Amino acid sequence: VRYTSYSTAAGTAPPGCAMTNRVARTSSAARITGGPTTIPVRSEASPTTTDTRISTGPASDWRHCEYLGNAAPYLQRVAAQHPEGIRLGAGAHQVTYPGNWKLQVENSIDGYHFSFVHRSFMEVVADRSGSTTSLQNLAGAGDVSVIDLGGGHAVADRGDATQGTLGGIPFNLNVFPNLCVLGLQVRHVIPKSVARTEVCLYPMLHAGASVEHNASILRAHEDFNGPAGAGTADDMEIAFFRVGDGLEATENDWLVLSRGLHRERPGENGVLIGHPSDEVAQRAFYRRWRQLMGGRT
Amino acid sequence: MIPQDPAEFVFHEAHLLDRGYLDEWLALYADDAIYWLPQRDDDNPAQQVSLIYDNRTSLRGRVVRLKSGFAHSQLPPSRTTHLVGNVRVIRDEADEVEVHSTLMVVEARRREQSVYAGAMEHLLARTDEGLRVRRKVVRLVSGDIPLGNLTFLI
Repeated sequence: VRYTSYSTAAGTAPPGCAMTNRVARTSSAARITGGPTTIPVRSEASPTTTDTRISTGPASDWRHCEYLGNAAPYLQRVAAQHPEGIRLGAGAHQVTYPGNWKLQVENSIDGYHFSFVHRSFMEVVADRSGSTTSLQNLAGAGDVSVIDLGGGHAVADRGDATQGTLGGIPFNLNVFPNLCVLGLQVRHVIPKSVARTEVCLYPMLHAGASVEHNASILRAHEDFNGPAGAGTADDMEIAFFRVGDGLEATENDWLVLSRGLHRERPGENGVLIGHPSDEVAQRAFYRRWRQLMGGRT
Repeated sequence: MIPQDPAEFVFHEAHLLDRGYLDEWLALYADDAIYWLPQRDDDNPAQQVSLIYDNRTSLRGRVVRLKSGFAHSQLPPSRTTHLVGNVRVIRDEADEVEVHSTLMVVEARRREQSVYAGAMEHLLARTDEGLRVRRKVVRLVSGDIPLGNLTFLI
């Protein structure tokens, strides 16, 4: 099994990123790979720009994607969020932190931390809007489910009606092991060592949309993300740096991820559904990880 | 008092940042201000993602956040020294003046020291209240490599 979750078909990536706009200059096709199956994703690159366009191919192309399993329909929705597909042509934020890569994967789908870790961001939103009603929307009020999709994949699904927490797609998707899609971005988590991680955050532009429209996506993305973004930095401080400190404690060898275990319920296609603040997605990840590492399942 | 000499103005901004005078710092910026940290020199902010591309509302948001008591990535806050050098007045006109300089920021936080450096551009508007920043660009030499916590104010 190959664990490369995302790669470009052409070009050699610079250290750190699987794909940057520099690489995409010459790429003619992007594909999502993993396991023995390669999923065809239509991609058109313009020779004069850095665009890489991704749109959904025929549904039959996805049928054979055993590795993605229940995650495939969500990836199709990612590509279908705009009629002409999405572009990853704006480059990427690159961040690094002194901690383990799995913390970023856990965090990308976690519904429990937002209202505490990102409290300062919500204060800014309240300052701009002059009210606190938007805080409730940001905190994810409404009908949210966190679903273990099998194969280590998981999703926090906010349903069809509501917008995403920070705009963009209405779900946070983790494709095992290190690809996350949430809000306005594709997130590629790159382990450098046991205690050093780099992350590339690619804003998802709308193919065929106006420059002004896509610029507004960039501004919304930058507001929260990147080394100077309010959200990313607070995640690094709390969820990676301080949690990493806690993991160094020697009193107890075990990290308990049992929250909501008693109220998981089965859904269609073998999925497990839980409350948004439960550790359903984290259990999904670590079950698969332990299996691949040779542990008991 | 906000200095009216362009070079002194840029030094004054650095001083306010190092002392943590956030409201006084924000007051240096005009209502139509743009504050830009590109990743690379040839980036277009409409087409490439920037480290920061703030308007006045976004800048105010940074100050609101830092003062909120919940900005974990700045609790404890970074301590910084902004060193501004090579100051050159590029263009001096009736309504605005453009100043280029070199910036080095040494930042210490959580027992670690980081250094950021780059070229800085200030476009200063001459208003009834004196000089105000209409546009500030900081082109970091490290803008396109993986960075850590850049939530103190450059």
